[in-house]
Amino acid sequence: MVAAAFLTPLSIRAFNRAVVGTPPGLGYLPALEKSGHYRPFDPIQIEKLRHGRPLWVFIGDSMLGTRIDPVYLGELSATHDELVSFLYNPATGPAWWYLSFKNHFVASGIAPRAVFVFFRDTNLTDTLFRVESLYGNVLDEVAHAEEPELNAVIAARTRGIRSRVHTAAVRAYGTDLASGWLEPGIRRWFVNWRFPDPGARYRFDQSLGERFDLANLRSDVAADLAGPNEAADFARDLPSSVLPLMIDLATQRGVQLCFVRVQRRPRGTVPPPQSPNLLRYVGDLESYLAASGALYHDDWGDPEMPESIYADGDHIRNRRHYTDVFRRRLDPLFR
Amino acid sequence: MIFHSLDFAAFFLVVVSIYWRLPHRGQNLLLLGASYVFYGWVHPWFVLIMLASTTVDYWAGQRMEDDPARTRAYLAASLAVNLGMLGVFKYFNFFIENVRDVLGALGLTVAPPLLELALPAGISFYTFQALSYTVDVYKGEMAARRNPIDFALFVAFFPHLVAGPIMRAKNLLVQVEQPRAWNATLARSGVVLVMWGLFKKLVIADNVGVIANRVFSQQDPAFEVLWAGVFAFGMQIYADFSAYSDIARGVARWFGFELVVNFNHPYIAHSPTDFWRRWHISLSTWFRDYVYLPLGGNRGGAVVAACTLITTFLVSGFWHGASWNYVIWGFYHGLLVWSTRTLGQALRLPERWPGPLALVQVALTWLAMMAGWLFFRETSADFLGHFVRLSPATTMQGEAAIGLHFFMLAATWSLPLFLHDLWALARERQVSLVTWTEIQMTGLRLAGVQAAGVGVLASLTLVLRSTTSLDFIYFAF
Repeated sequence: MVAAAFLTPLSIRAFNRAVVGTPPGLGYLPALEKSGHYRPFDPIQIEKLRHGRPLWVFIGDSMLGTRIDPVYLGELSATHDELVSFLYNPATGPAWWYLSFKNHFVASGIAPRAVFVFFRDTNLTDTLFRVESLYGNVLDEVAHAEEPELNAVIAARTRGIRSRVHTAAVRAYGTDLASGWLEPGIRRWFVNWRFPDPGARYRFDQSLGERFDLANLRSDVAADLAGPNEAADFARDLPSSVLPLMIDLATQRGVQLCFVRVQRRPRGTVPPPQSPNLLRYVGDLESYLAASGALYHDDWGDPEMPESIYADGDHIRNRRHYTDVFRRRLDPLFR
Repeated sequence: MIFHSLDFAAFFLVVVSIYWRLPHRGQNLLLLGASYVFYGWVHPWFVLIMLASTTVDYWAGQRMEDDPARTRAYLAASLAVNLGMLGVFKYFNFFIENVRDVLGALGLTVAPPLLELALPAGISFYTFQALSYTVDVYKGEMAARRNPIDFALFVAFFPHLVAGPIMRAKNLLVQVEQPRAWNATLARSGVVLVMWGLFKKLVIADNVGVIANRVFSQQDPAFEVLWAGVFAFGMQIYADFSAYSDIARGVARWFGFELVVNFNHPYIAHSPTDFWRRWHISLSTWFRDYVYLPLGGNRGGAVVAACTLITTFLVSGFWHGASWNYVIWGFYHGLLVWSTRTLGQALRLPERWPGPLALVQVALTWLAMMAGWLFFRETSADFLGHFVRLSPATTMQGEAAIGLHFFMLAATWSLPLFLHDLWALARERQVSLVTWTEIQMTGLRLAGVQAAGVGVLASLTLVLRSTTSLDFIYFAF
C-alpha cells in the first residue's frame, strides 16, 4: 500500500511525455527545479534609462511605490522630473531588485549620483522571498536566459533537507511539468468554454484582474502585514543572498548605492518594537554596508513619520510628505 | 507539528517503528512522550497547559471516587480549571473588548489591558475531551482511572489532538488500557484514509480556499461573487476538516487505535437535524450529551424545549470562536433545526420525503447549510451586515460572469467530494450496483483496489496540490 503511494506517481512522467513531448528546460533558475515556459526578458527599461539619463534611480516594491513621488522629488531636486527613475514592481523581493539592478540599470550604462534600494527589515538577505509561485512570474521580465549568480545563491539556500526532498520528488516524478499542463486545464476550462473567442476571453480576464486589484481589496488584506523573519541571522544569510552581488556590481561600476530601510507601521508616534534579534541583524547590516562603501538610511523612529501618514499596513498614504522628509534627510545626495 | 510536513513524516516513521517493538506499557509511555513532542513542537509551553488540565482531571476523578460526599466540589474544580483555561486563552480579550464597547456606549472611556497570548492549538478539543471523563465519573458511568500514564495519553493522544475527533473516555481510554496487536488490514485502511485526507486537504480544500479567500478579501463583492465565495468556503471547510479527521483516524490505525467517524457525508443530509448527525459528529454528540440533555432536552413544553435547543446551538457557536459571528452562526442553526422540526411535525411530513422529492429535500438542506457558512466565514460585523443586505439587483455588468467563474471553479475542484457523496447517497438508497460493488470488495481484491486508489490519489495530490498552503481551519479553534 505504501509502495503504491510512492511508485504509482512515477507514471506521471509517461503522461508528461504523451502530452508535452520533450520537457522544456529548467529556465534561468534551475536550483528551483521548475521546468516550464518563461516569458522573455523585457529590455524597454534599459531604453528608458538611457533616454532619461536620471540622476537618481530607485529600486523596490510597494514600500517604494507608496513612499516616493518621483515627479515631486524631481521638482524638489532639479528642474525636471525625468531626473528621477523608478525600477519598481509591487510584491517583489531581493531577487527582482538584484536582476533589475543588474539587467536594467547596469546594462543601461548610465551614471546617476545614487541608486536607492527600499526594503523592509530582513528582506535584503531573504533570498527566497517572493521568488516562487505567482511572485516568481514577474522575475521573468528582468531575467536573462541564464542567471548563474542568482541561481547559485538560491541553490545555497535550498540545500536544506526539506528542499532536497522536495527537489528529489519533483525530479523523480516530473510533477511540476504535469502541474503545468493539468492545473491550467482545470482552472481555465470553464472560461475557455464560456468565452471561446480569444478577445472576449481577454476582456473577461482583464475585468477579473481589475475587480481584484489593490484598490478593491479590504485594507487589512492590501496591507501586506508580513512581519520580519525572526529566524534571520545576517552573518549566516549574507553569503547566500544577492546583497554581495549588488555591492560588487556597484563597486565595479562606481555606482553609489544607498539602502533605505522603511519604518513599519508605528502606533501613533511610537515606532513599532523591534526584537533583540532584529536589532542585532540591523546593526550587522549597517556595519557591513558601511564597510562595503554603500550608504544606509533607516526611517525607524523618524518623528516626522507618525501613524497618521500611513495608509494600510506599512504603506504610506501621503507620498509628498514622505518625499519631502526623505529629501531633507538625505540632502547631501540631492544637492 | 502539522500532518502534511516532512517533520511529521519523519516523526511518524520513528515513532511507529519503535512502537511495535515495545510491550503494552512501553507503547503507552512512548505514545505519551511522542504526543507531547508533537504538541510542543512549535510552542513547548503549550504542553504545560495540557499538563495542568490532565493533572486536575486525573485528581478530580480519583477524589470523586474516594470522597463521594464531595463529588460536586471536585466536578466544579475540574469544570473551573478547564473552562477557566478556555476563558483566559480564548475568550478573555473578547469579553474585555465587549465590556469596553458597552462602557464606551454609555460614555465611559476605559482602556483595560488585553492579553497578548497565543491560543494553544487544540485547547477547545482536549479540554472538552478531558471534561467528558470527569462528568462521566461524576455520573457514575465510568470508574476513575488510577494509572496516570494511561490517563495522560487519553488526553494527549497526538493523531487527533489538535482538531479532533473529540473522543470519549469510554471509548479511547478503554483502547489505551487494552493491549494492542498489529493488524495489517487496519494499517492498510489507515493508509487509504491518510491519502484521501491529504488529497482533500491539499488539492480540494487549499484550492477552493484560495477562491474563498479571494472573494472575502474584496471590499465590496457583487452578490454573485459573494455567494460563489460562500460556496467555495462551504466546500473548503468540509474538505479541510474532514481531511484532518480522516488523517487522524488513519494515523491512529497504525498504532492499533480506532477513532470515531467524525463526518458522514453531511452535504447529502435530508434536514438540518440530519446535517448535525453527520457534521462534526464527535462535537455534536458531545453537546447533546453534556449540554442539551442536562439542560432538559426536549422536555418541559414547546417553548422550553425550543430555548434549550437554541441555547445548545448558541454555546456550540461560541465554542468555535470568540466572535459574535460564531454566535450568530449557532443561532442560525438552532433556529433552522427548531423551525424545520416544528414545521415537519405541524404538517405531518415524513422525516425523509418519498421518491424523487428526497433529492429536493437534500438540495434544500444543502442550500440552507451553505447560506449558514456566510456567518461562519465573515468575522467582521460591518461586512456581515452589508453582505446580508446584498441583492443581485446591484450587480454591475460583468460581475455575474465572475461569480459564475468562481462557482464553477470551486465546483470543479470539489468534484471528487460530490462523487464521493453521490456514492454514499446511492449506498443509502440501496442502489444495486453500489451494494454489489461493495460486497465484491473483500480480501485481495479489496487490497488491490485500495492500492490503486492510494496510487492515483498520491499522483493527483503531487500534481494538483495548491501552491498556496493554508492552515487547517479548525486549528484556529
